[in-house]
Amino acid sequence: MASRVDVGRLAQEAAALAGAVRGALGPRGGRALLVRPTGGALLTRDGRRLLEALSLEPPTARMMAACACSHRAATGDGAKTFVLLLAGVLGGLRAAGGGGGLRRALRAFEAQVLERAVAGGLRRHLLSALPGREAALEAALEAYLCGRLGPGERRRLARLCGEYCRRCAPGARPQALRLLGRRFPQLHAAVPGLPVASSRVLPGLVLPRDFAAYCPAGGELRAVLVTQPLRPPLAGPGGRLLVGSEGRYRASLRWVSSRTEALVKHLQSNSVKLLLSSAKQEEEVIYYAKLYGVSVVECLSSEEVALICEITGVSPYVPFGDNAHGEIAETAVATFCRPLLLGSKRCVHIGFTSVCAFQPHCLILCGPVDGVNEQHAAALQGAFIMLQQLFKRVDRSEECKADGESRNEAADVCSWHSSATQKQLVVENISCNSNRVSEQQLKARRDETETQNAEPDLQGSENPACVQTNLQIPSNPISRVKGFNVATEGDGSSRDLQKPQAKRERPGDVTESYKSDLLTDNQENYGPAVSAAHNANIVAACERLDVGKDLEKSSCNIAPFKHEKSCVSTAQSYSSSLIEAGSVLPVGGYFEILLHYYIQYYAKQCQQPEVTVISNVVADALLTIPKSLHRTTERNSFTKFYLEAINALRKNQPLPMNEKGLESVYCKYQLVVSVLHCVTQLLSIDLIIGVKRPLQKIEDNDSDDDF
Amino acid sequence: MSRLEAKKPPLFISEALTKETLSQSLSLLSRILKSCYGPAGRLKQLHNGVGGYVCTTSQSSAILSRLSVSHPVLSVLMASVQNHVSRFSDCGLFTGVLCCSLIENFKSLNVASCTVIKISKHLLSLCMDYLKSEACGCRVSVDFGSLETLLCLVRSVLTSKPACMLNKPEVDHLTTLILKAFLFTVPCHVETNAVLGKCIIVPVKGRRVVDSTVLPGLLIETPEIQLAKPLAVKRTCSDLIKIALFCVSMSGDLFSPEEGTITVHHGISLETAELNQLLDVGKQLVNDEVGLVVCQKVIHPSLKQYLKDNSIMAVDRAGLSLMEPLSQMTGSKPIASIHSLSPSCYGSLKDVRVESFASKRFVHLIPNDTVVCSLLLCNRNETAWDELKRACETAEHVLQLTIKEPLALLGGGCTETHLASYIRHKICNLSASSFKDMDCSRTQYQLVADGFCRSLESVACSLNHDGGEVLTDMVYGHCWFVPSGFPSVSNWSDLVSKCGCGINGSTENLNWRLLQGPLGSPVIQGCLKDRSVKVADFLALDCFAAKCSGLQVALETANLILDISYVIKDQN
Repeated sequence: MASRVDVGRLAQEAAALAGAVRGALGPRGGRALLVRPTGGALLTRDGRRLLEALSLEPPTARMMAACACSHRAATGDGAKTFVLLLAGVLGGLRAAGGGGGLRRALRAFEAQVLERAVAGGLRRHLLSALPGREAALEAALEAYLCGRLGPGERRRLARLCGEYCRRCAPGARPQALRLLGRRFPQLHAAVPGLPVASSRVLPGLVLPRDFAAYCPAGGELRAVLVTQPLRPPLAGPGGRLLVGSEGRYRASLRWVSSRTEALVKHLQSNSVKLLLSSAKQEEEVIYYAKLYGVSVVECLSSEEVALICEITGVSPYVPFGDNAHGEIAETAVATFCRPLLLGSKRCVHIGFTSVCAFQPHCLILCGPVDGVNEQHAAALQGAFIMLQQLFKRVDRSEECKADGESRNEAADVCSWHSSATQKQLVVENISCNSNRVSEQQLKARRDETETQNAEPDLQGSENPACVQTNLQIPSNPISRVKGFNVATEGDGSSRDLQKPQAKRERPGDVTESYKSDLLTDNQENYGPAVSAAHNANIVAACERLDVGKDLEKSSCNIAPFKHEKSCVSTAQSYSSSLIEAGSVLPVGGYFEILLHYYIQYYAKQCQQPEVTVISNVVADALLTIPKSLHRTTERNSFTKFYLEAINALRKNQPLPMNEKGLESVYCKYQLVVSVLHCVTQLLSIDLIIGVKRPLQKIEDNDSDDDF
Repeated sequence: MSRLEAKKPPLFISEALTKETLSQSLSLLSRILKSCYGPAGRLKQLHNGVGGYVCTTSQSSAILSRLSVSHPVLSVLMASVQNHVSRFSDCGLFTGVLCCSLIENFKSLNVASCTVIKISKHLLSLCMDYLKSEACGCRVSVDFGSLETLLCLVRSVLTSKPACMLNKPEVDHLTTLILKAFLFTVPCHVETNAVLGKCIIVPVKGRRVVDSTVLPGLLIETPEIQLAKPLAVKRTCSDLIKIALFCVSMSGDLFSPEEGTITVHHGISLETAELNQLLDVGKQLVNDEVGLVVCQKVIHPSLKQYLKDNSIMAVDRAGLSLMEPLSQMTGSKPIASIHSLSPSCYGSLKDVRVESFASKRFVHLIPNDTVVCSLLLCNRNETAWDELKRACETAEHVLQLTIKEPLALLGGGCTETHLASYIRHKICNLSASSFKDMDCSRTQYQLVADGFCRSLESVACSLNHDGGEVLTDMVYGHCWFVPSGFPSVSNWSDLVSKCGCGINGSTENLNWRLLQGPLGSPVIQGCLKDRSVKVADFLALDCFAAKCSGLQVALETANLILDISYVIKDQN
């Protein structure tokens, strides 16, 4: 079975999807009640959940949903906006007639119009979240939660979440925020049946189970983590016990018992007052623990164990080692350890002393039904992911950098995406002309200079640049650099290049890895002549940069290689990234209006008619979002909002912004880029072939075994 | 083999709230809950149509857990009420009725749900601030030094469950029993972290309610014990009985849940080894002067006989649920090893007796410090007993909640009408800035506030099942019920004698008005009078914590449901 795919069909599917999520969009959107096959109800406004619950049939629609979800997973926000924008763009393309020309023009649009619109227009309007970091954090938080929680509880929860962030991650340290986002399922407890107003933040961790043995102990206490049963087995796994006489049998039983007792006694003599076990312990262990005044909590999940290890820096204690009489080194310190009644459930409440930037606190979420608590927990976890994005930036690098970025992200989450971008990259490399090469070289060099600039910043732990660098580590720079070395080996003139590079090499330096990647490609495609020039060029740049930061000089340095167009763009803004870290805008459609305005503005300067068409399509599609946001208010409110904003822009006045909430421009920009990529990808498909056999995923790491 | 079925596409219902089916099922649920509410509530018989057990009840917990609803939105409502009941035991019907009535009232308003939610949240915060303030005219503080208020609380709980079929002397008898049982569970020596003990309800069916009694300590049912023989239990020098509590099986059976194999030579019996070990334990128990051995599981007959011969009483099969109160009551630690007995595990008891109630025999363990007690609860038949047990547990829970927060609210609909009149009065002088905060107009605010107050009043009205008029007075804002059959134009002061909660008499002219009359609801001019509450004998009181939480949960659930814009139902 094969069926044709055309723009009309895609637009129809996207419009249907948009219709399904539109109701939940924005601060005035409503909730959806998802009824599971088991009858359980879940309340949600999360776009990802909604799209999943629809269990879509058409493969292209599934692909749209998957793209939206992967964007959401990477930035913590924007699945619904993604679908709306996608529907808008596809609808516009259908109206414009579709066709392959438009598809190709999409790429050109991104490079020629979108980036310029951002760099030339949007940048002027951006606010920075960096001064008054925590206040901005809270404003972003509240705006984010407005889109996912009901109007009754959002303010309360935003305040609670702000307090939680402040207490867990003082100074909003990215490291602590990351831990919060990753471990949130273990860091909160839900209590159904109580009003939302009873939600609160508690110091310490709450483990949702009762003590197996509880011995009250005042003051600071030491705790030990174990992962195996403490009672030695009579016959070990696979072992055999030979019983020769009744006496021997009784003696061995007694030995097991006394050995258990000795272990617990040993814990007591090391003043350990709390035993945390991921395994279920025998009754006998509990009995001895009670006798010797050691509290026991058992059946910890592996996530809880990992969290405790991370916070306290201890590793699990192995009881059957040689050091049965020595001191137990791996003990965690807790300021308190007591039972806690949550609803009608008895829980364990432990105040661990942290060894990292993260201060353990537990969020108690109360709500009338479980479905609401789930909604709140999911929203808060998304919020922590979103907060991490707040301090990322977008570097100016047109195609290549954008690809690199999205590939890095895609490596984590999105299989659709990654295959698409890789494919694009290959296509590009083949079809590149020499002008393009020099352009890329230029970009590469500029990126390098940017990293150089960012370096002093990297040292300060408070600096937002850290967020970016840390988050991009998964792109595995080492292996790529290796690849580069192999490629340049046959090329004598580039030997000297390795030196400056090696000097500046450090783990996590993404630009570096990206650059080497690019070099590899170039050399493969264009042979030694070009690459030699290229390498020489970079060496020159590196030298320059080692001396000073004078960027204009270094750009003059390679003027012969420069293409006219890229020259213009360098002149426009050569010194900084496209979107600075921590850039924010007020919520409520301002980003879309601004981008709409500037895309149209720059589209007028564009010579290619197809790019102009695309620009108008995207610009109009962007307006669907503020339109949907203003859908439920009184009539004409969107028109009013639109006219006010556009008039202010025409007169070059500041926008009349009266929203308090903020949103990260990084996320928003990524959203537009992701949508454009998704559209390109969708338009590249011409045939859907139904197969009988299940498709098997090709494992990438199979080849690793060969080494 | 399981059959493979094609996956059904999910059902997408948009505009779920405006559908006719929802309002029909909602009003049906609302009517069911309303008709159950209060001391005069009508009973519901629940049965499944193919015979078997029939449940006669008027309690929300029993009804909601058995009712199945087709509409997913209603299942949210029911889950929310059930969750409330599992936390507080009390005020389930109040929460349910209020929630239904809030949804119905708010839905009929022509105001955007988002605005309704913001305004109602503000109204709720007004209510909660008032309820928590000292000036609150509808709450009384509970003095644990005197019994009157506590008795009123318990009595209100019992009388509001008509399916228990209690008459007045029975209510009085049970009220004192429940209070007595509760006072047993309060520890005498309070340290910083006081933990309440436990009251265990022992079922005795087929006897009169007035035969119920409460005993300090624990009752363990032991069918085989002989009643005639006097008990000879060894005592220690301080005239106490030493007790050993085992949570490990003493049956002498081999059990090895571990992996690995054990190879036994021919002629060696591990059972004998186990039994010998058990007898060793027995010997040590004798040496340690233990008088009573209680085992959670089974004791080997030989060991039992051995203990009996040495005048140690042995009780086995006590069950897991008794272990915690047993160890709490006696101070003993449950022993999990038959290889080493530490003297610090033993606990002590004041006395042990054998008692018999209605053909059942029990061993009665009497502790020194009574934090554990047993309530022998009798009722005529199974259904009524179940209902009564639920009522007793509710009353117990209400007392526990009250000791944490020694406050109570006026019952009989008075709290609801009082709150409604407070809100109506309060919103008259609300500043314009607060409307701006909520992004609404004054008219919208008043519409929503009116809906909120009418919902509260409709809860009070649903206490009335006989078709008479319901009044409110303009001085205290309490609720008054007029017996049916009188024309509504007569002089109200002749017809009413007491308000719903019983705190006000009709001695003065309180300027009564019809609640939910055709003229619209009256607005009190001037502030509500605060009655300096003197607790009378027969006052209807409600649990403060449960009712406050019920009010919040009802509103939050209503808001939640109003906010639902569509439903996606997985039909697989």
